[in-house]
Order: sequence, then C-alpha cells, then structure tokens
Amino acid sequence: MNILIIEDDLQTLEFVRGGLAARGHAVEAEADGRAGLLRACERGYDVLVIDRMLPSLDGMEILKALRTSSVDTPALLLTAMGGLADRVEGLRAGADDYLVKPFELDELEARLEAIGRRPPTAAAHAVLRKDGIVLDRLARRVAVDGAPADLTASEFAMLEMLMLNAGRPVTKAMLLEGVFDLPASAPGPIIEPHMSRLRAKLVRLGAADPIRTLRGVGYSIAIP
Amino acid sequence: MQSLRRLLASASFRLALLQTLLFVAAFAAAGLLALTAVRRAEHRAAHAEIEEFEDDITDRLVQDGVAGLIARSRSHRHDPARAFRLEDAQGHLLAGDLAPPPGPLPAAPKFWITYRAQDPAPPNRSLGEVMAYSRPEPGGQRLIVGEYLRLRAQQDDATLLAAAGLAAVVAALGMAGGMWAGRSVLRRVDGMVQSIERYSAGDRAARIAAAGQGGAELDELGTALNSMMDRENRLVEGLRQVSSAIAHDLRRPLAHHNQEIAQALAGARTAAHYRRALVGASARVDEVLETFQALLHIAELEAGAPGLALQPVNLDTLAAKVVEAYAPGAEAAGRSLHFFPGGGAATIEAEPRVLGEALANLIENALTHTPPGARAEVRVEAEGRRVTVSDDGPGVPAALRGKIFQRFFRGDASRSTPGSGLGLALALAAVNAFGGRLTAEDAQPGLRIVADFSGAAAD
Repeated sequence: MNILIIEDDLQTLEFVRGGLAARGHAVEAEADGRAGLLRACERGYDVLVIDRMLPSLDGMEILKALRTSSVDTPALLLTAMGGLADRVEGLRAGADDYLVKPFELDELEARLEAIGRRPPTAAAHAVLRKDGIVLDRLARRVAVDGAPADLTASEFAMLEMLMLNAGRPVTKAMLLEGVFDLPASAPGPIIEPHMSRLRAKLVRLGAADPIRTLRGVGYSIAIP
Repeated sequence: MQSLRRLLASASFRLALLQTLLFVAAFAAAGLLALTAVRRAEHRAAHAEIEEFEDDITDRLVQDGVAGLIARSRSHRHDPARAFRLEDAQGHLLAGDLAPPPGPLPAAPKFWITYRAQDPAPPNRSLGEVMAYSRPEPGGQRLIVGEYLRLRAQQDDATLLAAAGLAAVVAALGMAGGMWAGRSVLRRVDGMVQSIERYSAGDRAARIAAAGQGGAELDELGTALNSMMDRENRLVEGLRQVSSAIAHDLRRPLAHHNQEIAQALAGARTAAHYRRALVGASARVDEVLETFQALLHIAELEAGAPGLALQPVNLDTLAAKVVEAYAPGAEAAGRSLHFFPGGGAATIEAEPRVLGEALANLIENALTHTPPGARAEVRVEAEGRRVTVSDDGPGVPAALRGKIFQRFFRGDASRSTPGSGLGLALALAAVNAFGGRLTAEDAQPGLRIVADFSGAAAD
C-alpha cells in the first residue's frame, strides 16, 4: 500500500515508517501539518496516518480540510493516551479509524489494511463465500454446505468481519470495537470464547476450520 | 503591652467603645434637655413664690405698717430662701434683710430683676443669685421681695453630679464589657489560629473547638474551617493512597521486567532466547501502559469528560450487548451470567462505549471475585434508569464496601485474583460522569452493585 504518515514525533514516525516499510509498504512521511495536508491532496495514497496533535495544523483540521475538498483517502487518526473524546471527534471529522498511542505495529497494519482496501460498496459483496461457508449479509444468515448454521448475532458479526477482510489480519481490538462496541481496554478475555464457539459451530456442520489464529495479533481467514 | 494593644485594636472592643461613646453622648443630650426644662420650671416656680410672698408682705404692711414689718423681719424667718427689703427714698433700709441689688436700679416703677447678691456686712461673702420683684410704696419708699436661688442651684448641682456619675459608671461598665468580649473573642481567634498553624505544620488531626466563647458566628467559622480541613484531608489521603498504590502497582511489573531482562542477559545467547525475553518484557511494559491508560481515563472522566459526544442510550440494549460479550467467557470459567431486561423505554445521556466499558468492569468484577459455580445477574430496573450487577459469591464486608471503588483497592480475598484494581474505580468515574450514582450493597449472599441514573437530568 502507498501510505502517507503525518506525524511530528520523530520516534513514532521512525517506528511506523520503518515497520511498515519492512512489511513491504511504500511509506512517505511529513512532520508538519500544513505540508502534510498539501501532500495528501497532491498525490494519490491508499491510506493516511495522521497524528492528532501537530504543529501548524492539527490532525482534526487536516481531516476536515481533506473531506471538504473531496479527498476521500481513508485515514487513521493517532491519538495520545487519555484522549477519551478524540475518538468520536475524529470519526466525526472524517477519520475512518483511530488508534491510541502507544500501539503495536501489527494493530496499526491490520487497521490500515482494513480501511485501505474497503470494498467500494457493501452491496457488491452482499454474499460472502469461503470454501463451503456462505454468509448472506442482508438476510443475516450463514450456511455451511447448504446447512444453516445457528450463530448468535455476535458470532455472525465476527465471521462477517473476518470474511470482509479475508487475507488480512483482524485484531482482537477491531473485533471488540466492531462487534461489541467495547474499547480494547474492556477487561477479561472476551473474543476468545466467542471465537471458539464460532469455530465449533462451523466445524460441526462439516466445514474445515477457516479461521487462523495469529498469535498476539488476532485472527484471519484466507482469501477464498 | 502588646496584648493590650491587640485588645484595644480588636473589633469587639472597638464596637463596645463606639457603643459606650454613643450612649454617653445620648445621655448627655437627654440630661441637657432635662436640665433646661427643669430650670425653666424652677424659674416659673420661683416667680410664683415671690409673687405670693410679696402679697403676704403687702398684707402685713397694710395691717401693721412699717413697724410691724420690721418686727416680723426680726421675729420669725420661716423660709431662709425668701427675703424682702423696704427702702426709703434715699435707698436706706427700713425693714427686711434682703441683700441689696448692686448699682442703680432701673427707672421703671415696677420691675423684675436678677442679680448676684453680697452680704452687706463684712466679710461681704457672696450670697449667690437672687431673683427679685420691686415696686414703689407711698412716700418714695420701695419694696423689694426676692428669693435666693442658691438652694435650688445646689439641688440642681447635686442632680447633675449624680447623673454624670451614673454616666461615668455606665461608660466604665461598657468599656469593661468591651474588653471582656474582646478578650474572649481574641482568645477564641488565637485558638483558631493555633489550630490552623498546627494543621499547616502537618498535624492533620488538628481541629478547631466546635463551640466556645466569642459567639455563634465564630462557631460557624470554626465549623466551616473544620469541614474544609476534613475535605482537604480526604483529598490528600486519596492522593497519598493513589500515589503510593501507583508506585506499588507499577513497581511489580517493572521489577518483573527487569528480572526478565537480567535473566535473558545471563542465559543462553541465542536469537530465539532473546526474542522470547523481549516478548515477555514487552508484555510487562504493556501492563504498565494499560495501568496508565486506565488512570488517565479515570482522571478524564472525573473531570466530567469534556468533549465526549453524549447520545441517548437504552440500558436494556447496552446491557444485553455487554452481557452477550461476557456470557461465553463466564461459562468457560464455570460461572453463569444472566440478564433480566427491564423493558423500560427510558434512555440516559451517555457515551455508549464508555458506559459499556463501565458495565463490562462491573460484570468482570462479579465473575472474577466469585468461586466457580457462582451465578451473576445483570438487571435493568426503574423503567430503564438503573442497572444492577449482583453475584452470589463471598461478598464484601460492610466496612470495606465503600472502599471498593477506590483506585487500586483490592480486598484480602482478591489479592490472588488477576486484575488491575482499577475496574470499579473506572466504572464509578464513568457512571458519575453521566450523572448517575454507583453504590455497593449486600446481595445476601454476595455483592450487588447498583448504577442508578434516576437522578440524572436527561431522559
């Protein structure tokens, strides 16, 4: 992916730039808000990483300026620890996702992959398939080799998220936020027991377990 | 000397002094008025008496002639204040003993006169003021009838003296009272200042005597200062408890972190070995960062979470989702989690993810601090304005129930169970931030935590 990072903290910048470059992404960086905005408008990037606090022009302002000038490049907002209100504010300003510092590189990459390659419209993928598993997003139904699977709403939502991001990791934090609307800081193991139930239900109907566990990162489903 | 100066400068003494001065001034004014009125009345009375006496003398003169009058003046003097004199045309005394008016008399035939009299016989002592009436008698004679006002004046002087003495006594009493009041107030204020100084010097138990000399307003001041010190004590105590808990809680993972690094450095020098050590060390640092994150969240929520986007939240919907998130984990851990929706249509103004996390912490608390086989219940009540989380575990002793919402509080029974000790503090801060109250009750058996939003304004 072509990624532009707008971040003034050099340590974070080097950590992100080096890490993402090592994973095969083309990464460019800008340390100043105004310069970052100009560059984001000039060139086509797959995804933007924007820090919330920047000199000259703050992350929220950049997002607003981009969205009002119809630059729809997906953007992830980095917020400092304790910025409880930043998430909602950032999403309102036009961010597609947000991440609280400090973060894992895996988490950042998974989220960038998820927003950077979003399907153009949900309707184009109303039905998702993986081997014998068919997930109907409109009817909210899952069948394995034609036999209906009795999934709970959250099990359905987890499978849907994994299938929409097939071939890419989906982190536990993404599942917590997307499925249960809970922050990553919610206590206790929440995702794991749901995941093992989902797997058991799919396997019981004869499917080969499609879900791979990525240790320390999350889960993924291979591209069909 | 210093204390006397302080006393004289004190507000209560000045007040007493002012009051005394005002009293004395008022008393003097009243006395002056009274004196004037009395003098006027006396003047009139003297006038009337002199006229009566003159009638009496005239009767005698008509009946007995001058000789009779002389005899009378010699024989009995029934009243020492009144006297007369009968003079011939040359001004020689014919009868009577009234001291003569000095200087030439007015030319008018009849007149009233007031003069300072002198005894005509040596040593010519002063006889004081005389009020007299004079009229001519046939043959160029002149009768003067008068009264020595000295006696009346002596009475007046005595009265004045008594009044002045009374005023002096009252003034002295007022000053003494002022000094006494001033001293008792000063003594009380000194006590207060000493208590405050002791408190400032670090004696956290120092308090001002609740009641004492100096009046109710000083009692009020003392009570207010005491409650201020109590409040500050609580804050300082909270801060002390939190900072020592932070130090303690962060030391543990950092010490482990250090141990792991030391072990890695001392052990086999293979890449896999180092990698394993780094992964472990990273997890420790994550623990510390999570603790910081939670502390910052609590602090933000305690500040009212400015900028947080509030929206109407239905507790049934929210609780159902959170319960669903935790139910499989509860079952896997040998506990059961049950949900009883309230069916109410009410909503509360909250940020759903923050409130969801608060509820998640309450549920996690019920699942972690209970033995396997325990049952936890989440109920929405009060038409959707209250949510309770209860368990049938060992519960919390009444004395500790108020403390479980403190940061890093961990009961003796839960020392061995995992957790940051911040979950309930976070829940409390979140519920408070959305206008609710979070309380802990005895569920008999077990613990019940109630998040009540019925007092919150929004609906």
